[in-house]
Amino acid sequence: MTTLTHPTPAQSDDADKPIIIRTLRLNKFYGQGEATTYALRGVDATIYRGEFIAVLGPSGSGKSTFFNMIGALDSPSEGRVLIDEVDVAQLSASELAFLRCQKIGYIFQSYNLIRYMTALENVTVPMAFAGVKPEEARRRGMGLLKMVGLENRWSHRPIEMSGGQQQRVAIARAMCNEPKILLADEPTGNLDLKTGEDILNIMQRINKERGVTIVCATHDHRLLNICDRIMWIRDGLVERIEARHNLKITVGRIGGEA
Amino acid sequence: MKPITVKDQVRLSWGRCIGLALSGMSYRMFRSLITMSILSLAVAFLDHVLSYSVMEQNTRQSAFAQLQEFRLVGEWVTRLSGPESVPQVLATLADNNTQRLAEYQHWSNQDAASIQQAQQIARRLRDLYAFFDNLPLASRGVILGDLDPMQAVRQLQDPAALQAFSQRLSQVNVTLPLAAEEFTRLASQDQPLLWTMIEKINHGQQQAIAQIRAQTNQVGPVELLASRPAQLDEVLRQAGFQVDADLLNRLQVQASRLADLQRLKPLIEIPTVRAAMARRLRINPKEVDLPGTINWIRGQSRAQDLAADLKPYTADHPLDGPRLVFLADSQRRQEKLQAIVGDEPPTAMRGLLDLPTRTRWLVIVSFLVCAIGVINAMMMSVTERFNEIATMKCLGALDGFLLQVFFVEAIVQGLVGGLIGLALGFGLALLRGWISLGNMIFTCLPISDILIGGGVALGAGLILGAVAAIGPAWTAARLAPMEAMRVE
Ligand SMILES: Nc1ncnc2c1ncn2[C@@H]1O[C@H](COP(=O)(O)OP(=O)(O)OP(=O)(O)O)[C@@H](O)[C@H]1O
Ligand SMILES: [Mg+2]
Repeated sequence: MTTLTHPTPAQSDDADKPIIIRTLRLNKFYGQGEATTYALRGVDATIYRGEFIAVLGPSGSGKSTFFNMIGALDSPSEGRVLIDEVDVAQLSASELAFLRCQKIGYIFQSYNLIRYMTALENVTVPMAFAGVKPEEARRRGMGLLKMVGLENRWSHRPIEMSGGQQQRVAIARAMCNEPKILLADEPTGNLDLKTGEDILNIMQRINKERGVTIVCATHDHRLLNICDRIMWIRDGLVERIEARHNLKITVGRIGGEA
Repeated sequence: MKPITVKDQVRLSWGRCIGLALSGMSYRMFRSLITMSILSLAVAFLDHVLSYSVMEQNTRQSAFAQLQEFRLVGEWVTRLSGPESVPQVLATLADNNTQRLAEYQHWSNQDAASIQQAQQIARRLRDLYAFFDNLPLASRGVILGDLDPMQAVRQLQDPAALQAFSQRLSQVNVTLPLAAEEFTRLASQDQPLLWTMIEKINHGQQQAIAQIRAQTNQVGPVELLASRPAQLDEVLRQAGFQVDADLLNRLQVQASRLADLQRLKPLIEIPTVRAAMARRLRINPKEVDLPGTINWIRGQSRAQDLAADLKPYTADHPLDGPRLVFLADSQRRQEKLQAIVGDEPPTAMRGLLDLPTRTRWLVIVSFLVCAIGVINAMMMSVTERFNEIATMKCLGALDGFLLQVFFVEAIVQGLVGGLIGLALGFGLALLRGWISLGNMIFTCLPISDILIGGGVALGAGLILGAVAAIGPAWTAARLAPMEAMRVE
């Protein structure tokens, strides 16, 4: 049915690693007829459990679209997305909600915070959906805000916060249900050096300590020092995927990392 | 072992959803207030139209009933003055008023069966007249000429006239509401029976009146009813009039008022009285007239003043203060009632569920206005939140839960806005009723109809609001989150 142009997992040197996300011939186009825009044009990608993969690519190359697909937030025009070898298209609405709520954490490029909720309430929303008791959710939410350095700002609304602060709320929200997969779309795009580094540290820690699989789109080259693999996307196609140790990049250092 | 086992998402309780809806509403208080005020205006508009129409209807009916009391005496005075006109008898026969029929039976000295027969004929004739009356003018002119339907049909007793009539009828394309032979029978056989019957009734009434006059010293009907000599009840009954003590009591009150009015008329022509009135009214003595004088009488002290002026001329039968006050108050009341009722008599009591056609259109239009207002307000408040719906879906909200939240919001906003709207609409209707119909509006509020109207308005607001909110919310919730995010 599908002939894979990329090396299948069985043939690659990563054959022994368990796969968490796999896409098969993933296509996505917006609009129809003359106005059709091809955002993804047959992406075959494999993401292994517990790895930290950086997605690079110029603006408009289809990174966000790819995230939406593998996060089960949008339906592909063609092709399939398998999460833990389960086809997302086969999941019921309720199972999809469960997956989005408790197994995947999203950090959106545009944050997508709820306008009228405070920082703390924004962070607790996914916990509420997961059925966590309100007091428990508040407690955990405060912990997460503290982690991103916003414990004093818990009662502020998104419009009362800077872009970077909103981004940090979005990061805290993504982590609140302890997801197995974290999809981060330019999580450090609006942060200063120091805060960005803190965030990268946090991501590295949850990747290493909790084994959370992280897929992260970025232009931040410091990220390349801590990721396991790098995937380049151009014009809706996977240009290449490389393990970091095959590359000779050293762009500064991340605090704590050797 | 799989790290990701997919299960069904947790279903949240209504409590959670109400909590989220309420907190969402209080965050967006300003927007909610706008939605609720649009909603309340829409409901107020509908409720106002509904309550005002039932109030107006009820008040007019009640005023009409009260006006009957004033008209009653006039009716009896005519009845005691001479035989009723032919159309009047015809109408009464067709209307089936038992008391009047009993009188007719007495005067005509016929058995009940003949009266019943006359009734049948009267009804068929009435329908026929109505049919002719409603014809287009052109065909009516050809068939009836210059005559009114009653005269024209009456002529048809003559076979030659009937023949000519049939010919004229065939010239225009008109079908009678009854078959040809039936029509012929009605015109040539039944009709004469009725006219004879009416003649008998008229004759009998004439005799009855003469008999009463003979037994009561020949006084006129107004004075007779006002003075009410001891044997009057019996005399009237013997003459065939259907009266009882209660009716005669009421007639006496009204008749003395009429008598006083008639007595006052020549009295204010007297120069001294006229001069005194002119001084009080600060007008030229030539301009003093009866209505102006009556209108001036308000309260006992003024009435006493006028009574004092009149005293020398009314020694035998004084027109005292209380009588003048009663006269003036009744006159004003009558005018007020007449103003409320207007020229057309109100339609029979129908209530909210069966409004007159004109009002029904008004209600339909205002219902549409209300519907558009509510639907627009609600849809606006949901569609501008597609983004929020999409975000919540990304974070794992179930479609059903989102619908519940919007449903609760719509109901809460609908209830709050709707109740405010009801108060507003009812208050407005009351105010408008008070301005146009006066205090009487408060004495005859059709409570149950107003409540039904309120229920209809509130229900319309709630149901339309809920549907209008759930509709777009459902559309958004069904989409994949990112698709919903793109909808704008
Ligand atoms: N809703 C949409 N309708 C039409 N075209 C779209 C839509 N969303 C994205 N696209 C197109 O799809 C392509 C990929 O967009 P995408 O947002 O995935 O890029 P990206 O790699 O995330 O870019 P950036 O780095 O700027 O965020 C772009 O050419 C974009 O114009
Ligand atoms: Mg993007």
